[in-house]
This record gives sequence, structure tokens and C-alpha cells, in this order.
Amino acid sequence: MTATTIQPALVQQPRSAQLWLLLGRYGALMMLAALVLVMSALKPDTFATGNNVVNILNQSALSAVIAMGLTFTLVTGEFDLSIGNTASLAGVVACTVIVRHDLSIPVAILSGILVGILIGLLNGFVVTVLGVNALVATLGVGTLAVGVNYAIAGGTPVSLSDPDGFLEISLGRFLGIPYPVYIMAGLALLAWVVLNRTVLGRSMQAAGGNATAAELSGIRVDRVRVVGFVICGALAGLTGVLLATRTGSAAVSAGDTYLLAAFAAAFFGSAVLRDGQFHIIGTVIGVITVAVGFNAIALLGMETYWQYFFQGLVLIIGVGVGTVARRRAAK
Amino acid sequence: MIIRRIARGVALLAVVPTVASACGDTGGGDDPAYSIGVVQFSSSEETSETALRAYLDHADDQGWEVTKVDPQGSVDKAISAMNDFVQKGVDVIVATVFPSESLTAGIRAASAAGIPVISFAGGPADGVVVDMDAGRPTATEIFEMLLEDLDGEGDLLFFGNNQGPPCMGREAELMELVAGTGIEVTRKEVPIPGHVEAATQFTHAWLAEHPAGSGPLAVVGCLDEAALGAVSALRQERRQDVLVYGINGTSAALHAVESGDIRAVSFIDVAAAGRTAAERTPEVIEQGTDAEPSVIPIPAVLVTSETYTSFAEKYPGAVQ
Repeated sequence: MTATTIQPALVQQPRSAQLWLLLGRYGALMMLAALVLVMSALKPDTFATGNNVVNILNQSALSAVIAMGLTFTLVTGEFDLSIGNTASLAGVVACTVIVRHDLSIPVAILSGILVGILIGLLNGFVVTVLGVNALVATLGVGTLAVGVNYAIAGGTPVSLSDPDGFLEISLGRFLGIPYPVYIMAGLALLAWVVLNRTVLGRSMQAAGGNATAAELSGIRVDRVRVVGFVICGALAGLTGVLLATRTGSAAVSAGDTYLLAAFAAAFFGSAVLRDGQFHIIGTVIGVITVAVGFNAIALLGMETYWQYFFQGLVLIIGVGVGTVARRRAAK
Repeated sequence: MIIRRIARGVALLAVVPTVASACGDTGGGDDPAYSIGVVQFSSSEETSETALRAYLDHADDQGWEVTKVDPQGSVDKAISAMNDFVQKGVDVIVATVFPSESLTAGIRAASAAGIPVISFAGGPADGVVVDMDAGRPTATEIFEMLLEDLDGEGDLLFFGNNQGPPCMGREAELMELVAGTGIEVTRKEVPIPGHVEAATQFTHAWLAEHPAGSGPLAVVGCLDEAALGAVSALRQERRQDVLVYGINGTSAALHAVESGDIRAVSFIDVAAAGRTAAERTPEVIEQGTDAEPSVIPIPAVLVTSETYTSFAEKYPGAVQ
């Protein structure tokens, strides 16, 4: 008996399958491009301007930072529901160390990031050592963070008496572009390199793809997952600090709303360029797509309910079209 | 065929703003129309939405173009909305409830573009030329009544929220009035959203420590929703010895006053505040960011079961 192996490269895909594949990978991008083109035609004087592009990127920056962190956790096959609470706590801690302990701004920033790292470590410990499901573990740890937040601030926003130096981090510009845009771009590059060009990143992808196979190939899956939680926590902490630099104060629930936005961006991003895999470029595109949509709604003067339609549609169409396209292509 | 499907799919989302822009056209009269940017707090926040509705009705009558954005309680989204309005080149930005000091980045961007900011209950800040104050002035009368009801003695459970200037102002007023009296205050922070449930839970625990007959007892919510949470707990425990007070005057709270579940509510006439802000808008736009900042107290009406009927006749919309 002889076995016949068919080389994948030699298999000729039908033209329709190729087109569905194309749609699956580039559909979300085409949607963003179409949105930009339509808006440029409708509002050439306000939408299609350099200032507005910078405005959109600036609006995307904080959401992108926290969503990129979440992407690391999702890549390893886990969830993190504590990111919003982590961001809130980090902002409060950063402002508190300045207000109550008269410490410098760099120390405040590091404190906020450190808070995120500690929460990430705790998440990782509960998930990998105690074996608690990530959804439950991060929900619990996030709730603990809320408690710590109230213990520190008592529910009151922590405001800086002289916020100008702190505000400069968000309001300052270099070559006409706000600093948060540079932070977003720099972190996106770094995160992309880590995930795609390092052993750690590939181990994360392997752990998320098939944990058993990864384990058998010598990858210490639990350790990789903990690192994913730590990176996620650190970036959530940084986001909380950056949010505080936009306001000169930190409220106990200021960062909570990032949770759903980050998940939406990451899932939308999974439909960009790749076949349903979480990745950094996709996540950033997801955040920017939502920011473009909100900007368009504001510039067009549309009613509030369109925001909700847009948020829902962007996720359903972005991910749904990709899923359908891949299924069709596989037939 | 497939190309057509692809084109149809990707165009669908892009068509949304096109269609909606046509639907959202506000029209306008012959007068030069102002462009107004409104930053809501949250579409589900009843009191601020009532104020905005009054503002929008006036704006509509004048033929002004109004763009609303709902940041869903997110400060970051509110700041983003303000930046979008700066890009749009609106004549004035109206922000609701968010503490003005937390909107610093947005207010500064607006000021830099020469756009004045009106705040509903956000508190004063640089760049805010008009602040509609829903804090201390709205609480004075009802808290004076509370002191009279308790005759200066007893235990009081107070629900506060330190994230919004209105609640903080009302709490400051209460603490000042009860200072030096024989009233023991237990203060609990209630998160928003979630204030109804939190108030119910706190009330259950407080009632356990304060059984019936243990002295004059009262519960005050810095917002009606917290007071309604307390009413829920009192009903469950069949307690009728505790007086409850609320502030804002939501229809649910007003009906609880009518039924006797709530002793009194301070009804804030936010619709009047909305109209006042709208009427002042042309002046604000004319004066721009150089205008002298002003704080306008929002008028409040004390509603009890005795005055409910006359109140309902005067403000039929409030009790619907």
C-alpha cells in the first residue's frame, strides 16, 4: 500500500476561495478605508485635515496602549477583565504619590506602572498557580483593585494642585504631534517586535495556539502566561497614568470604561490581516477605526444613538465578515 | 459576483454616517445659526438629560445646529468629544456633570481655539465661562427641614458620591448644617452606576444596627436613586420609622413622596436651568473665552406629600 501526500503549495485554490480569503484578511481594512473616503468626501474641510488626523490619533493613543496590553493576554489564550480597574488604580496611585508624598512625576509614572505589574503578577499567580479560570481570577483581582482604590482615595478624585508639568505629558507636542501619539507608536513597534521577533513572543503565540503542543515542545506555558498578564497589567497601569495626565487628576473609576473598548478593539483587530488571530497591528487598527467612527459622528452632527449603532456594527461586520469569509474560503 | 458582495459589505458601514447625516440634519431658520457641541454625561442619566432636552428645545427653536456626543461616563471620551468639536469649529461647547477639572485637556483645547465652555453641574474651572450649580444651593432647604424633623437629635445615614461636584456640594452643605447638633451621621460612598443596589445593601446593614424604636432615624441620598435604594430596603424590612430624603426630583422619587415612602425631595428644576443656559448662549458666544466666569444656581423646589398635588399641577412633566 502506498501513501500519497499532496503538497499544500501544489493545491490550486479556486478563484472564489482566494477572493473570500482576501475579504477575510482585508475586509476590516477596506471598511476603514471606505469610512475614511466617505468622510473625506462629506467633510473635506474638517475631516480630511492634518489637524484632524492628529486629533484622531491622539484620541486613539490611550485606548491603543491598553488594548495592546490586552492583546498579549489574548495571544496566550487568556482573558484579563481587570484592566479597567488597574488603569483607574494606577492613575490614583500616580496622583497620590505626587499630592501626598511630594514625589516627582517620573516616580509617579513608575508607581502607576508598578501597580499594573503587581496586578498582572497577581492575575498570573491566581490563574497559573491556583488554577483559577482567568475570567473569574481577573474579575476577582479587578474587584480587589477597586477596593484598594477606594481605600487610598476614599472615592474622591485626587487632583494635583499644580498640574501643569503633569498635563504637559498629554498636552505637550513635538513637531506638532502630541506626545501620546509617539508613545502609542513606540509601544506598538516594541510590542510588535516582542510578539513577532522574539522567542518570548513566539512562545506566547504557541501557548495560545495549542498549550499542550507548546508544553510538549519545551515551552513553559505557565511562565509565558504570567508574562502576558504582567505586560497587560503594565500597559493598563501606563494607560491609567496617561489618563491622569489628560485631566491633572485621577478619579476612582476613570479607567473602568477602557475594558470593553479594549476587548472590542482586540477582537476587531483579530479580523484584520490575519485569520482570526490576535495581533498588535490589528488591535491598533481596531482602536483607530472606532476613533475615526466617533470623530465622523461628531463632525457630521449625528444623533447619539448612531454611536451605539456604529460600535455594534463595527464589531459585528469587522469580525463577522472575516469569519464568514474564512468559512467560505475553506469550502 | 463576489467582488460585488465585497463592495456591498464594506460599503455598508461607510454608508451609516452618510445616511445618518441626512437624517440628523437639523435644518434651521433664516437667522444665522450657531453650531453647538454638547458633551453628555450618559444618555441614561435622567437629570442631566432633562436639562439637555430643555437646552435642545430652545436651540431647535432658534435653528441652531447641535451635535451631541455620549461619552458613556468616560472622561477620556468626553475629552475626545471636545477635541472633535474643536476640529468642527463649533461656537460653544456644553459639558454636563463631568467635573470640569477632569476635562482639563478638552477645555484647554477649546480655550486655545477661542471656544467658550458652558458646564451643567461640573463646577467652575479655567475656560468654563458659565457653570450651572446643582450642588449646595439645591440642598439647603431640604436639609433644614431634615434638622427640624429630627429636632436636632438622632441617627442619619447619608449616601454620598465623591466623583461629581453636585453630590460633593450637597454633602458639604449637610455636614455644615449638622455640625454641632446631636445628629450622628454614618456616611457611605455609593458608586455610580450601581448606586441603587449599593444604597439598598448599606441600608439593610444600617437598619440592623438601628432597630425600630432606637431613636429618630433618617436616610439621605445625595441623589434620588440612592434614596430609592433605601426605600427598597425599608420596604423589605417593613420599617416605617425612618425618614428618607432625596435630591434631584426624578419622577420615581416624586411618586415615592406622593405615596409617603420618601419624606421630601428637593426637585431641581433642571429644565429651567437648561433653558437659562440656552438663553445665555448667544451672549456667551459673543463674549467668547474672555467672558467673566459666572456660576448660576439651579433653582430647587421642596416637595413633600403635603405639597405634591400643587407641585404636580405646576410641573406636570416632572411627575410623568
